[in-house]
Amino acid sequence: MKSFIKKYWILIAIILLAAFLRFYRLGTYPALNADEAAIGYNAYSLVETGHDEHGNSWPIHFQSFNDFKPGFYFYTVLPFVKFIGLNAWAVRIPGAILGVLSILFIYLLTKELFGNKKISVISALFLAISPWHIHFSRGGWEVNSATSLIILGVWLLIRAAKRSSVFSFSLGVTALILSMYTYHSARIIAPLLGIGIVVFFWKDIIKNLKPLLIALGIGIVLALPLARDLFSSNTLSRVAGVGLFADQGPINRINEQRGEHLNVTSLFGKAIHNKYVNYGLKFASNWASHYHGLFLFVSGDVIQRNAVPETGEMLLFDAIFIAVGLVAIFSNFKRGWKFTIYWLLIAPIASALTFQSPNALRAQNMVVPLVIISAFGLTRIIEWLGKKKVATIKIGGFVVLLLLVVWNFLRYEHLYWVHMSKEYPYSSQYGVEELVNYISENGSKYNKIYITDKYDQPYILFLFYLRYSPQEFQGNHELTTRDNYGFSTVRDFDKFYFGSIDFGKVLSEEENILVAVPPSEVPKGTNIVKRIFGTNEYEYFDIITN
Amino acid sequence: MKKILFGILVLAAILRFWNVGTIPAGLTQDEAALGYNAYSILKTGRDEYGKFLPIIFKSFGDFKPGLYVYLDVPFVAALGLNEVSTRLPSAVSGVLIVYLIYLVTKSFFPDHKRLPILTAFVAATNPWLIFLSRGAWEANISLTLTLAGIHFFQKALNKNKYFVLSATFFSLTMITYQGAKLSTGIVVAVLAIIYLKDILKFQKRYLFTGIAVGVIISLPIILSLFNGQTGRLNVFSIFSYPRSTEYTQTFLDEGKEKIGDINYYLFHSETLNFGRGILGRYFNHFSPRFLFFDGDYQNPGHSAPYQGMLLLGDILFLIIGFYIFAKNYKLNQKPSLFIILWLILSPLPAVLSRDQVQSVRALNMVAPLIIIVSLGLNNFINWVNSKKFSLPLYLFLVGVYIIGFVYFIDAYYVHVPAHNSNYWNYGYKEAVEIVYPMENKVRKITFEQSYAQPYIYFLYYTKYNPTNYQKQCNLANTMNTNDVGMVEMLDNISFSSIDWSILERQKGSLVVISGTTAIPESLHYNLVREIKYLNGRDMAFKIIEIQ
Repeated sequence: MKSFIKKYWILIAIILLAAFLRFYRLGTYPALNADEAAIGYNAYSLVETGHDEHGNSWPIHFQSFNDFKPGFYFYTVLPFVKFIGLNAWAVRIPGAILGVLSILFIYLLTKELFGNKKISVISALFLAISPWHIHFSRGGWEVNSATSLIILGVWLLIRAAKRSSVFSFSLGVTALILSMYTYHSARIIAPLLGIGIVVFFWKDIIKNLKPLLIALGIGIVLALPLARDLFSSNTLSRVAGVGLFADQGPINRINEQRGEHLNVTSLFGKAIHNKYVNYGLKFASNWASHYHGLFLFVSGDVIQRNAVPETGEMLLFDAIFIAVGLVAIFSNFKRGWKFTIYWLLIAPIASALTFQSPNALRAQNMVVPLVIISAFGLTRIIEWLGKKKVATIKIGGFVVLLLLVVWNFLRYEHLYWVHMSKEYPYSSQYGVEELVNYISENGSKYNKIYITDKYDQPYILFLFYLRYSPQEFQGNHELTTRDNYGFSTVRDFDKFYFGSIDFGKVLSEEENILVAVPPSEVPKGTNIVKRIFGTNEYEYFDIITN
Repeated sequence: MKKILFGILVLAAILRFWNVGTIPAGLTQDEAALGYNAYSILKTGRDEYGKFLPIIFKSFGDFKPGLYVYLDVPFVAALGLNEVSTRLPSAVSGVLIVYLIYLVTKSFFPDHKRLPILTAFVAATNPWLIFLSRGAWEANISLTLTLAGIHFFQKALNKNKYFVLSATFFSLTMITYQGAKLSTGIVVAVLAIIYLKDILKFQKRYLFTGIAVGVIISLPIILSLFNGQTGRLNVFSIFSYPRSTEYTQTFLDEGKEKIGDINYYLFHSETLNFGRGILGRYFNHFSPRFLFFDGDYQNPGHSAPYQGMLLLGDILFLIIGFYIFAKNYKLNQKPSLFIILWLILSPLPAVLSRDQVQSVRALNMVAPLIIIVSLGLNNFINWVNSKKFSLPLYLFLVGVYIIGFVYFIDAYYVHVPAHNSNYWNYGYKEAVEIVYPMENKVRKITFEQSYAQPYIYFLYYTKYNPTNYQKQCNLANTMNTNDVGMVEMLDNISFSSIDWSILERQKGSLVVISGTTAIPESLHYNLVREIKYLNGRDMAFKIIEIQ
């Protein structure tokens, strides 16, 4: 044990750091969002009744808001809900654990790929402090678990390929298939990575095909239920709802473009302006947009939920290290690096098939090759500095590097903890827990309770925070028809109603009711019973009664 | 090889000269000013303000270094004052660029037989270069002169006397383009640093003659730095646009921080904010969106619609090119070090400006990019040649190139005039041709004032007698002291903002308003003509007669 700690103390320290960054105040910051509440409540519902919130028994995809969420993550949450109860910790612990494990996995993967401890340690460190990785480790984000399983799977498969190990092959394939049960993007990325491993490690694999074939067999068996569920359920229609073709822009552009030709119906105009060309270009431009330095290093995702203010998905210093790393890679392009570059190139493909690109959430697995390349860049810089004979240059160089990394990371942490919830007050469902607490204390005397739906799926957060009995809920609610984006919601259960509220009318027509609306909708002079603030000290709801 | 090169130059010429007067449709105010000043110089030896053979031309309260005007004079003399003659200096130098890039690559990489010819081909078909060659862009002349400077610098390494020529070309960029101070400065500084040892070995008489010639030619520009004729540096510089104090304070309040705190200096300082702004702009110029998909998305008038600054297929060859560059070219080789440093530094003039992307100011980027794309192309061809079944790969190569090229040809020659005529001030010519003959028949003509400087179109399209104009020219700095000045009167024509309460009383006078300006319902008028943009949808001008 002692020698183990001695040998791996750096890695252990990095993992402890990663755990601290991922678990510190995990239950309260950021506030729970509707998707996390859905995960928690459905797990709770399964524990209590064996059915999800809508009465489906042990599903592969959870119906939830009619968006049919991939189910694996729900099942990892299930034991935590059973043993520590339905709360934010229970929903987030599995994600944070898998996030911490990713650090170990990337260490093992890079060790297998390059056999260079320096690269492995720095990769582990850079993943541990990566904004992209920390952001989605802190919350019930399915994608982060999928990424973790992908790193594990890729490591196992490469290891297996080099050693012809049936055991590693089978475990690796299982991890990749599990990632496909966890998140939509993984259904494209995991198979592409599998194919990549077969291609780049073909020289090893060809020596003994048996383990590969056995693993493939296992993989097919494991993937069958998923395939069946995909094609038999509504899942695909949900996927289409956020897909490339849901964006009407390229179609509208066709008419505009053809109209600008002298002969509007010319064959040439049709050949060059049609949906294949325009959607093809859209896909290519979506894919390429993930490599934009502005997204990676300066501002991050434009979707506030996925981002920290004034922070890129990677840290600023990564830009320098990645540039150095790429040059170093290309000057000696070995197999392990070919695979890494291949990963870098395919990582955004799933994300590019949807609109809203670049998208940090859907392309999260891109952080893995980027971190590895950045780590390689830094190792090269360190080696280069190490050869310097003048001590001031050498030590000065190391100090500058250290300060750069530390300052950059601290700035990110500062923006995450101090500014994020205030700069992006609608990035998560702040204030709802406080609202539910108030209502559970004071709501019993009212006949009916009206809640605004301004802030995304309030019903599920109410179920979650009230720990509302799933038996009661399952048969007694109705999902609305899907909106333009393919989502449904629940308008009422028990004495709660969720929707946009003309509260002046409601208050005058009904008796003994409580209404919670956004402060912006309350006219001056209204008698507000209680103002509800989120943990970020912003006012989210005003409560009005009659 | 010579024949192929000739063929490429012919191709380049066709792509640059064909219908250059009507595509792009319209004429920007800067083009009109350059053209009219050339006309004025030709007829009177003086610019529109009556200044005798100036080196820096005052124009709209801005200052334009004047080489373009002088280059334009022979074209105006031969072809008269029109769009073709105004744009020809740029188009001709566009062809020269192709040849110069060929020469520069040849001297940089003497062992590569095929590479220079590929570079010429890539340059001939490059959207960025074609776009800037088909309009009176001073930056295009500046790039041509820069390439000539680099070429003769390379030659000077063997025969020192060429250093004088090199210095001449570099310094000529100074009197061509305001942005050249930085863009040429970068090239000269990088060359000087990389080749310092060689330069110090130059024969002294050539070295000093070169430096003296360079200083003398750039002297007017150096002096202008001290008397305020620096163009619109303040308006365009990113440093003129700090965050507002309220914005900063709101942001700081989130963490109960204050300006002057340690946190402020560590995490939120204005310097850091500028740094982030600059870095973001820098990345924008290397973004796929700018290079391959949307072009200059901040200034749609600077590129073709839905078309990047390079061809689509170049995305492949640029990646291969970088790969080859990293693999084969070590930074101790001076030419590769020069190319990579030039590429890294060339977006700076654009990056330090307020725009998110700016393809004209970043134009110099295109030269190193083309060389790297050609390197990728060259290596791809080598790789294909080494394969047994090379035919399908050749077809793939040709296919990728042709698809990208055809898409660009369509985007440029079909869609630029149809889609972007508004950015090229289409409609002024038509408006002038309708309104001007009526000048003496109506009581008064009021033309809506705008930053497009309507007066210059009257001068330009009526070939207004320069001697007469020089007597009455009068530039008012009324609208915005930070920006360009405006001319308010020309003969019987007034250029002013539209005030209907005054205009409605001037019965029998003619008013030209922009298509977006609303006419009050109470106004009695007779619609003389509507002029639409070439997209067939949006209105450029309405000409009405007040009744």
